[in-house]
Amino acid sequence: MLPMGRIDVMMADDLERAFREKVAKKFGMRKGSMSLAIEEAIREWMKSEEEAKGPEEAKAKPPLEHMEEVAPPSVDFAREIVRASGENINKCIQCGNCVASCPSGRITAYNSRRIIRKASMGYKEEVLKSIDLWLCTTCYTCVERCPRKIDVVNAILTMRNMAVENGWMLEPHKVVSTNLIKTGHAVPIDQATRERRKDLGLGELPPTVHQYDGALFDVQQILKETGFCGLIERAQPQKAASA
Amino acid sequence: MVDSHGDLKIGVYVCHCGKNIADVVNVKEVADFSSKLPGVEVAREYLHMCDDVGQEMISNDIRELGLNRVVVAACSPKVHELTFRETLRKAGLNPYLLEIANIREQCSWVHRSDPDGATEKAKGLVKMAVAKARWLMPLETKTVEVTRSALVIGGGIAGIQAALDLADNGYQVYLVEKSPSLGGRMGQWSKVFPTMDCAACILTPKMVSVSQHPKIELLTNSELIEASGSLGNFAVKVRRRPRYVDEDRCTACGICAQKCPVRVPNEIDFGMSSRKAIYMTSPNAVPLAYSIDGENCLYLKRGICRVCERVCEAKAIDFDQKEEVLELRVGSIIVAIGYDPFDPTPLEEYGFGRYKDVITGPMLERMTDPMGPTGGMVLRPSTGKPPRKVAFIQCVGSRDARFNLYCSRVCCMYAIKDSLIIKEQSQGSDVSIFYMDVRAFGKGYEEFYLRSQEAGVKFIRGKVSSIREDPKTHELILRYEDTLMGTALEDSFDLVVLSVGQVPRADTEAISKILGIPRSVDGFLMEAHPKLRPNDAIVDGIYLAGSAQYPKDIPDAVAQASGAAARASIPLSKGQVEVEPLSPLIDEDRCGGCGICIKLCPYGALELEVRGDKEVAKVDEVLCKGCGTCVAACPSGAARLRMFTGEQILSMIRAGAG
Amino acid sequence: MGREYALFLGCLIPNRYPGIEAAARKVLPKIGIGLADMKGASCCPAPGVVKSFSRPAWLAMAARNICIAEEMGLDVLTFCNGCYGTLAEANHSLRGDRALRDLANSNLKEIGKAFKGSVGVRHLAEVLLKEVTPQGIERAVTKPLGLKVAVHYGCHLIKPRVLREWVGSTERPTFLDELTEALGAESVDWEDKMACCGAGGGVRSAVLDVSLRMLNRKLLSAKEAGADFILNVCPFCHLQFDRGQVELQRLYNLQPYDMPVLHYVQALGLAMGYGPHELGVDMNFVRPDRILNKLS
Repeated sequence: MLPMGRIDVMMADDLERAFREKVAKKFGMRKGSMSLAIEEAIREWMKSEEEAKGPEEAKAKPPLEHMEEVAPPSVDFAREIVRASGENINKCIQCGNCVASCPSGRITAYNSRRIIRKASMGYKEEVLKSIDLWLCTTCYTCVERCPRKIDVVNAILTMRNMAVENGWMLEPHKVVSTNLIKTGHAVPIDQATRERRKDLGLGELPPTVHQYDGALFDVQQILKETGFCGLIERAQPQKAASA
Repeated sequence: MVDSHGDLKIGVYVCHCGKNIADVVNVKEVADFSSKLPGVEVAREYLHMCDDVGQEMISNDIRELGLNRVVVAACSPKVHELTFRETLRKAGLNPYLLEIANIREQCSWVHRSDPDGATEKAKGLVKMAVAKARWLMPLETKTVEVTRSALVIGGGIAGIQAALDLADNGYQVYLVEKSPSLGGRMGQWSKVFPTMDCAACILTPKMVSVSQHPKIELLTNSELIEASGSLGNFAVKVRRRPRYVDEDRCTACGICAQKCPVRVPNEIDFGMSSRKAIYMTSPNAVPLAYSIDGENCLYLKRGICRVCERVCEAKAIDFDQKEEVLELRVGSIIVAIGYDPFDPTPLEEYGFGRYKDVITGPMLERMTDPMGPTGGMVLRPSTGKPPRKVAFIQCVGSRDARFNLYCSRVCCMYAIKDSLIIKEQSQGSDVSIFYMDVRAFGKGYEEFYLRSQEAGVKFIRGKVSSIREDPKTHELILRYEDTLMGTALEDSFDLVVLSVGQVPRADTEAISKILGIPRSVDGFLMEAHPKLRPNDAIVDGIYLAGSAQYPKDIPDAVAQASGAAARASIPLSKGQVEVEPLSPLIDEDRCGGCGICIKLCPYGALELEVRGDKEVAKVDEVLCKGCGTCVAACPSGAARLRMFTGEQILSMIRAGAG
Repeated sequence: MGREYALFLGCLIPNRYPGIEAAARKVLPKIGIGLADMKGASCCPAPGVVKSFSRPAWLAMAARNICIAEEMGLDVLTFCNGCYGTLAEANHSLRGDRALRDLANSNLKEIGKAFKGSVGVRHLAEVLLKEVTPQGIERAVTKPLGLKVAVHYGCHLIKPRVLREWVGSTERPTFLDELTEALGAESVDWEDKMACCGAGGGVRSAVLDVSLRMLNRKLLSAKEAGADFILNVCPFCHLQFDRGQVELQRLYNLQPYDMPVLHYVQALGLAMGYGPHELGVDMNFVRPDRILNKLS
């Protein structure tokens, strides 16, 4: 019988290019080479997942799942978001205008509509652990166009806050936050810029916390008081895989 | 009849209203509390005071216990005040010896989360009602003759239907239409859904019936400018603008229009064509006569030209016609002023007004009309050629918190209709409808939707976020998410139709003010009750029909128009109306003739009359609406509302505070 | 007839693109905009990162910065969209919401500050538009640029519109084009003009390649429109267009775009006769030779 399974995927351009090159090398440019290679790759991946689990568990599961397994919905999640953001995401009618307006959505699988859907249906872990939550540039185009006047950015930022509270954060962001705590600037000055400043006739250090230790101390107080330092300490960064 | 200073015997009746009140308020407790109030002879509770059993309970008590006041603690007086007044009347008690305490809308319904508090409040409301009951006095209604004619404002399909129904019932109808011809929006459409009937073919016979009906006086080029009075007796002023053409002489030959040198954009074609300063709105116009547009006619503006007059063989041009103001007396008024299509210019992301090939649904409609700007062919405005790939975007200006939150009802269906027309005209063309939901709610509508899918019309679930023009091909690129597939895409089309909804007409505000009928939050005229009185305006004697009340399709407009006509006939057929004792009594000894009340009365119901050696204020009971402004303003306390006297109100305040 | 403002520098201008600061300090006083330093100001804090992690921390830091200006009795002036987004929103929230204000002030009390809501937050573009006006700028220009410019508004300058009534349309604004044309330049229509540069929301820091792919569309579009340079009013957009261009080129092994980038104050400086070096124009990653040649 002919294989009838079909999956359409979006992937990083460079990954796609590299894969195609390898496929061409291994199977040649024949029709069906891609399907062959992809099936092989999937089977390899499935096998390694089973092996990682252990022989007992591997036996318990059938080889190919057709339904995604997700954590059971959390009844409170949507309510939490509504309360924390002041944004009623339950108003969403899933029209998709946000996705069509999104600059990230244009080039990745990031789908703001789906995130709001999953959030309002209570799929807390799936949403908060997803890297998709971090692909929004907060450009606000979706907010301007939403027919239900939902501030999508506000909802996403609230969910980001919730993710970080749970310790889920991206590695580079932990670095930026650490800089902020140490220097009072998310982007602190570097040697090259000090030189440039002198060259331009400006003070070597700008009149910010860089120059005023007392002010820096104040900033650090605030960051401690508001729990920011604690949050960053507790964060267990995920690998920022390519999206 | 019982005298209000005799022994007080008040009956208090507390209603459960099923669970509406009883779920929150402890009805038994309220009844017990009431039985101990001063003057209360008996206090009972029952499931539904308004039903037969409940009403009999009251009438029995009136007869057997000799009650002389009745307090009903139940739903809003707006719902059942008349019901209980009738109960009193049948039992031999003056109907105005009734007081209602609203423990539903003003208590149980708004304090669901606080049953204890609600129960205390209900007790307080009953206490106040009982206190007022002591000061109620028997009042009489007045019977007034009804003027057996009706005014219908608006000559679209709804106004036409209402006028015909009223006239067929034997009543004189004045049908006032702002434009030179009947027909309204339906007259602008070419085919109607789901039957694909030719709109003009089914509309014109009705228009002709109106013009030929002996009981209908058709006033075109006319508008309502003033109104006063009340149910059964309205006094209205209608301004009739001159047509400058004698309707009886004009043969509609059209030579005048051919020769007229002035060209202006044609509103009927939404600016896609032009007309002359002398024009007919359509070849099926009723009355079938030309009309001169006073704003653009060279003679009327600058005193030159008069070509039309020279070439008219029937000598129908008459520049001596003057504006008239007609004063009419009618018993009922039906408002059927219709709607305007939403203007999508503020949705800058769609480029309407910038890109030629982005048009609105109504503009497309005009193109499909053989009498329209393109002879019935759907063409791309930029090239004048038939489109190969068309996109409809639904919910433009409707279901959008930035503009109008409501759904305009008709756009899904008209898009489906137009997509079928395009498929027929351009075989092999590609038509897609971008929707959020497809609403095919009426008879034959779902079948129509199915038909369009079978014909190959594509339905894509996703609100288009933006449109831009390809600088090279001049095609329009739409960006959208196909939400059912979960992919964000762009695709190009050569014609984009924005399915705009219906919005209240610009002159709705003026009509609302003139007639004193409020608008709903969405801007349309407000019905008296959304479920039970959808054809009545809030003011008695005024009725609503068609999209003036809320967006609707033609079947619903016609149904509502007939409904409004039926409602409007009631006072006309009764021949009499009872005027409630709403108006104030003026104590002529106290009245100093200062005239403050006359200046303040919003309804012009007061005037000064000579009484011996002084002037006193006199109330026209028909015009008066009992608002109480004069009572509040009167410096000598000469004006007193019969249903809300000072003693009554003060006693309620004391009872409520104490 | 000028006015003084409390200059809020943020991070990127002083610490990465000081040319913009130098240009501003030279040029703005000449057109009536006085600049007073906000001593001890910190990161605004960056809307894309700090706000994503902790809203209370974001609010308190922003409040502290605004307090500095309140103590100076001057409105805050910024030339960074991100700082504008943060400070304008924080100012609005704190002024309007008592509970939020009390919360922020409870944090500020520890460092001896209190937010009063006594000053406004302005972006340079608004001040140039309303107070200096395009006509005022035209008068100050001595060397009209005569170049084709791809004007980039950015996002937080104009959205969400509900807090920025002065911008007019967010789909097709015109004010920055007017300000650019006042420099004697031609603002070209380019396909992705209103699209986000891709840097914000923490995307550039954590998922650089995604942010660069968004940038790519902008650059291609600017090139296709025949622009001589891209003009911005935000140092983060500036960095994205400038350094990002080079990163893109290296990451995907592309031909150089050779699309110079200028912040408005630098373009204004050039049009007022200042040299490229003193405006820091030659300190970009992308060499400005193409436009400097055309200018001289």
